[in-house]
Amino acid sequence: METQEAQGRQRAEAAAALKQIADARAALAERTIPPWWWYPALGIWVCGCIATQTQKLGDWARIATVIACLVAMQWLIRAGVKATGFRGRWLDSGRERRWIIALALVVVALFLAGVALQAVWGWVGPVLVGIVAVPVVIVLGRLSDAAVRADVRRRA
Amino acid sequence: MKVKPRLDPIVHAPNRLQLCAMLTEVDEGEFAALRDALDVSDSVLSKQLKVLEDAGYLKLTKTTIDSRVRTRARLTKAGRQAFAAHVAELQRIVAGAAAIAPGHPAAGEPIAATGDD
Repeated sequence: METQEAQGRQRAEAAAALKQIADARAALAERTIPPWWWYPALGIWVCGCIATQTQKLGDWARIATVIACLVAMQWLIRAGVKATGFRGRWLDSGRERRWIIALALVVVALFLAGVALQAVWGWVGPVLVGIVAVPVVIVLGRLSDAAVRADVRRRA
Repeated sequence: MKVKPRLDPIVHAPNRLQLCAMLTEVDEGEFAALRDALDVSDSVLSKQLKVLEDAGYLKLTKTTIDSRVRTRARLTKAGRQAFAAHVAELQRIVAGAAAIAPGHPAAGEPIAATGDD
């Protein structure tokens, strides 16, 4: 009889602890949302990279634009972490990883399109592709965010 | 992560349990973000982080940016394993798989946490 009571008490305590874990993860899921400007900024970064890196540039201009792209990416990542307070391990998360891979593939495809259009239309082609990349990155980025939050909640 | 279910008194205290639950989902979290997410004071969070750090479950990194010290917390591998084992045991208990035999040390004892919370 006492053993049953003890088991019941332990089970209730364990359930309460699991509830605390679920609450903590739900709170985290809300806090890992980057600020509204982050994905538009990422889209502009992708646009800038496509528009510059697919052009025929001289060596120094190429080096300068590559450095500018890398510095801007570093700044974007730091700004995202600073704004949320958390550095993600999103690549460990199943659905999020799929979205990131999808986003990377789309960016590569757009980059190749930029290269192809540069050959046909000159500098205008990559710029147009870059402009198209902005909304694409924003949409895919927000979808990937939703996937992260769903994953975190699902594990709760 | 495959672990043997085991209750961990260090992890079990409510604030530390929630800290671990959040930090297992991320690479690292900043002190202010963790404090706000847990809705606790600086001193309470410091105390809980210290307990986890002393147990080898957590690594704290301090960096100075713009003359302000930023503290970041990251769970160690041992911390992730301890938390995973703890959660597995909690789930086992809830599922009713934990058969406590009469006379077993756990029988009649509530799940105890180590340290204040």
